[in-house]
Amino acid sequence: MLEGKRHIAKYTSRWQLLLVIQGLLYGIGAGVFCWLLSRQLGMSMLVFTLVTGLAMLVLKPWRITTTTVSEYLDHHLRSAEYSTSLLFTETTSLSGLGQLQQHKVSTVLQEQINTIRPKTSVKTAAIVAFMLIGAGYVGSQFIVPPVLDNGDSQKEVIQLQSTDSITPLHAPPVLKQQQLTIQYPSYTKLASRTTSSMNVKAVEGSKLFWSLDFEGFVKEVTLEGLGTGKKFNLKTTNENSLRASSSLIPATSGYYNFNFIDSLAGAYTSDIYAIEVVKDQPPAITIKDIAQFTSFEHTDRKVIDFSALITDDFGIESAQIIATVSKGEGESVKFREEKIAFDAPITKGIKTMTATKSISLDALKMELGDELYFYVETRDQKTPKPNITRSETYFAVIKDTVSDGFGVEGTMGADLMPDYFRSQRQLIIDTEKLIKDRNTLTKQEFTNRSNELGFDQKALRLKYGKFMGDEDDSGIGVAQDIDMSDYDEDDPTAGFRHDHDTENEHNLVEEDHDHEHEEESEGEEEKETSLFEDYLHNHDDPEESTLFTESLRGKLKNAMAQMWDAELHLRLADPDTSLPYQYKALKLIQEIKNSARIYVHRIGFDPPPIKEDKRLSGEIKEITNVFKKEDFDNKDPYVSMRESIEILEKRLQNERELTEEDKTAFAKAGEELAQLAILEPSKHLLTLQKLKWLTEDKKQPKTVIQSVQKGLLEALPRVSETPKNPEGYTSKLESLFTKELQKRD
Amino acid sequence: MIDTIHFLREDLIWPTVIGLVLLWILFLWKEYKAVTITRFIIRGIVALLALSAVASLFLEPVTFQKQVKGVAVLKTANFDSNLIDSLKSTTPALKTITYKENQNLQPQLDSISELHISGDGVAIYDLWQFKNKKVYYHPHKPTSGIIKLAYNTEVLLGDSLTVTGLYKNSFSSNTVLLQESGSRTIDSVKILNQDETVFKLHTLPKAKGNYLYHIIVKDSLGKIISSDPLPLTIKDRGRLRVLMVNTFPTFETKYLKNYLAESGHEVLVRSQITKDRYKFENYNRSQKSIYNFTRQNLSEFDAIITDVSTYNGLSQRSKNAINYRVEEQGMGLLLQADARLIEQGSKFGFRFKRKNITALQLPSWPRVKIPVYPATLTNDALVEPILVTKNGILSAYAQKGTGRIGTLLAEDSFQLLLSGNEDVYHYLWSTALGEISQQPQSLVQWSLSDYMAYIDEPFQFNLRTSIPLPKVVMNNDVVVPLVQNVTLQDEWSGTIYPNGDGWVNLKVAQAPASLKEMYVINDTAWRAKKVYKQITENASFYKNENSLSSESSIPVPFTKWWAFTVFILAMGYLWLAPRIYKS
Repeated sequence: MLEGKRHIAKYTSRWQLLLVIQGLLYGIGAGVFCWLLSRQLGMSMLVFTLVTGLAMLVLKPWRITTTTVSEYLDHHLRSAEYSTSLLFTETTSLSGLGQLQQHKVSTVLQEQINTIRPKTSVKTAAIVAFMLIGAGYVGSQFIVPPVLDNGDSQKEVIQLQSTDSITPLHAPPVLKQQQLTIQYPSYTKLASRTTSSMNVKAVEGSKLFWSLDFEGFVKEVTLEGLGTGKKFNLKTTNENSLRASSSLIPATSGYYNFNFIDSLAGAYTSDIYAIEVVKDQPPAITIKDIAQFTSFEHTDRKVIDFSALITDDFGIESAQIIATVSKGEGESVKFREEKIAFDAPITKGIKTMTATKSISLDALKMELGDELYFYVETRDQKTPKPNITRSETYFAVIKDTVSDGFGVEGTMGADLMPDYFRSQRQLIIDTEKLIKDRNTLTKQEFTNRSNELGFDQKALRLKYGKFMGDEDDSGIGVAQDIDMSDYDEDDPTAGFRHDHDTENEHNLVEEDHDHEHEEESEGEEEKETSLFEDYLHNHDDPEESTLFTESLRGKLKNAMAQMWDAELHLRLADPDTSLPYQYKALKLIQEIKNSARIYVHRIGFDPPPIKEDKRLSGEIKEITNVFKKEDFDNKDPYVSMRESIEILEKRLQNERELTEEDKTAFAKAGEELAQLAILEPSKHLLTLQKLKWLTEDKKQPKTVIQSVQKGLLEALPRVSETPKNPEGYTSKLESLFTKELQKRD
Repeated sequence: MIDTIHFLREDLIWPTVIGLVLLWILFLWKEYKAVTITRFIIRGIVALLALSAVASLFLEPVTFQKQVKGVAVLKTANFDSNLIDSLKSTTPALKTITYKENQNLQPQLDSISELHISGDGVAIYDLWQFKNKKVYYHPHKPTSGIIKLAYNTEVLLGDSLTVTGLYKNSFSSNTVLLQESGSRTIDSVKILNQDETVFKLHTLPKAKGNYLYHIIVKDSLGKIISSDPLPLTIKDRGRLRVLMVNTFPTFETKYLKNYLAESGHEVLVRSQITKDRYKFENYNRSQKSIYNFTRQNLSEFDAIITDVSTYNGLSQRSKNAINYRVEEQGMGLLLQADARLIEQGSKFGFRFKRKNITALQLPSWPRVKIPVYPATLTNDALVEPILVTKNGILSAYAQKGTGRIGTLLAEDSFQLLLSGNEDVYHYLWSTALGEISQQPQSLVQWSLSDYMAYIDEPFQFNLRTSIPLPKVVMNNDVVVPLVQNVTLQDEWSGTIYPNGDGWVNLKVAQAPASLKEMYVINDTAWRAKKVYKQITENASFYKNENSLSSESSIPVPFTKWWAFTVFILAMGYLWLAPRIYKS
């Protein structure tokens, strides 16, 4: 019966083993997954242990005992007839039937135990583990390495190349340890990093410390490249070892390598390494919830609400709104600038923030027609000079109700049309109102108001007369016939006199100025003539002094005639008759306005045609021939690169040795390639490095030459197309043939 | 019988006969007085016999005997053993000859009237041995590989290199790659599973010098099937000397002048400021001015760019000078297109067809519209198109004497530059100007029989030169003998036998600038191409050879012992006879 017992024991241990494998599979899957993604062994081991432990706790392989196995077999092996437990009972203590059964079970087990599988799911576990590893691999392909990853995990050793062609007899110094510490600028809040990789990616302003430990004596260590030939400080740390250290703040991206000179003046050089200086990006501003241009009616709630999303790579120092309010129009415009803080104060050093603000135009004391320009300005924490970013400018306007509808400004440089043009319409409105109110007014009042309107009409006509340049035409002396000494504050004509009291004066016709200045400057002696002139107010020729073309002038005259009639009837207290004239005048004025627009378009220089016989007949004594000379030779910036390719090809084909001249060419090619390499370091760095090897005395294998040639060819830009004239050969027979051919033509 | 006797040295018959007669007369004169008449006659006949025997020894008489010759088969590389077996079954007396290169087969071929050649054929340089032989050639079908190749062994920097080839019997989808020196693959073509595929590979070389490119064939799994060298000489492009003349400055001239000057060409621009006053712009050349054109001052230029109005405004002497330079010395004249050119085109040899078009597109840049004048050039006998588009000729030149007058119908082509299509602009002008400009005359023109030579195999070359007795030197030390063409005095040919692979140069000693470089490859390179060429050359050679009749008579020399015996006997008699009669 021991036989059956042994089978069950075996089965039990097999079950336990399978469960352990299952747990381990989960652990391995998770561990490898973790390692693929993080590439950190310690963490992966930890994950492996944790997951395996957890799986063991769930699966509990120690719970599997012979009892559970016998129960399990009873359930699953029908032929065991629920009697496997009999096997654990002493044969002697069993009845005859029991003994028989025990024997039977033992035989059954021996035959069939292998058909029953223990209740484990190793397959599932294996699939899970496999999928985890697969997912980890796929994930690792997509993961972008962090920006400032300097490859800490991979230990790199500086490769020393002897620059002499003869292998030194003595043992070269051994580089035991190398370290590069990058100290980022304090404002970045990045911790210093120490790495053994000599290729650096550092933020602008970072300080780099190199520390190289040598075994054996080194006489001199220099850092070559980056425009420096910096020597390292050497310090003996031990009896037989040295430490070389140096530091540098790189200003631009570039390349460097180390040169070593050992105690016996043997020189060595290292590979070329890259320093990439990452610029601190200026902050970015995105303004939301607002249109570029907002306008408000005066009845609106004049509040602008917006939010600004500000981001920076290392931290924002400050952000504010710069608002400018403009009041008035044209020459009288006034600006007021204000700095407005956001609703909530800015947290210094934050990388991303959303600032909101609601600006009340009323709080800015803005009135109708006023405009508000504003933008957001932000600076980051970069030292010593922060990066400043400005957003786009946004506009807000409170619409002016009165200034709408006048269109001349749009086409003319100066506003030549005075505001009085508008009052013809006003006069009409007032006249109509007067007619309407006739019944409610006394006759005296009616006559008075009609007379006043007549006066206004006259004033308007006089103003137009000024445009005509012929005040005298009106038959009324305008400003000059009013005695200046009798100036009265309440004088209703004050606004219409010929003095510089109108706001728009400077935009008007210039002549007035001239008169004024003449009067001031001419002095006593000329008083007589000036007095005379005062009365005449004579422009040399009224026909010439107008601003308008003939037809326009006719129209204006016509309008003024209409105004005359309108005034006449108003003075006669007959507004009904006056009204049609006023309308006519208004219509004419409108036309003038429109033709004024056309006038601007017409302006331009139309030269008179030149007679053919006059052409080229002028005096040309003083005109001399012009000579110009310019050379575009050696425009090709990659001459040495092309030359090097040819040298390398010769070297590859003929196995000839490189001369000193060739090496000079390689050095120059290296300089040319470095220009390209700064733009695409990853592509050309290796070529640059190998090109440097070629300039040294040591003989390089063919593969290096081949790869340098390949790299140079790849780096070279395409040759642009240009006319070519290859050499040709024309024999006597050919030239005879072409001549003969053309004779027959 | 007598007419079947021939002498191998027929050219010596008369001198020999004369000599013989003279000797005989001398003998007769000597013997005349001494002996009796009967003895004299006998001795005269014997002497004649002796002399005739000596003469026949000298002239080598033969008789032609009709002979039925045998049939033989020549086994060359890749011969077909089944074919040989079937030939053997029909002709039991079949002789089998195994071909070895550079071997004299004449003795074996003499007795053969019908020769079968099986396999890849004999080397091209051995073909002469089969002249006047009746040969049935059973070529071996070429297996697979690149069997034809065409490319320019000399390319100017900036020109594109196009390699065209024919791939035979590709069983799987192979790839043909063009590899630059430095093992950089620059172009590739997939070969379809077809009997024959023509492929084209392109590249723009970037540096001058002698390079070894490679044509590599890979199978679908990326395994290299073959790698063959492609020697290439990339030369620096020359500098053009261009004169641009305009009565008033135009944008077209301005941009063209900038382009040419920046490309390093020598440019002189003369634009008129006013009457007799000019602006001279010298680019990449020493400061000079040019007022009236003379043969002398125009000889400094390879091409003149001007427009019709300016040309018409020139003095008659200037025009004559231009015409002389164009017609007699090959200078180019490029007329900038305008309405006047279209009107007066016939004056310059062009004929225009008015056409309602505003733009044309080049096949290489189908999306770029080149604004043109509403006319196209018609294809005349002496008008050669330079740039052809689907809708008409964009640029052409008319041959005038040795020179060319060309035009480009693009209107305000500088717009192409402004719209960023520099490539098109550069292509237009460089093609048009390159085509019409005066070519610098080289003293020597080489033409080689193949793109590359094989080691230890004869390689033929031709050269044309005006040098009276050229002396060609290979690799600066071996003088190559030349053969002059009988009718063309300036054509010479020669053969070299290169003995090592690598670059070989040929040079005419009298013209050091005439250096021609070529590459020598070893026997394993370009195998398929070489075999294909050998097979086709063999096939065409035997086709042209008319054999003599199968029963051709062969010359059988008389045994010289007869003549010798007759001579000895005759001499013996003449020596003995006087002694016998004396005694």
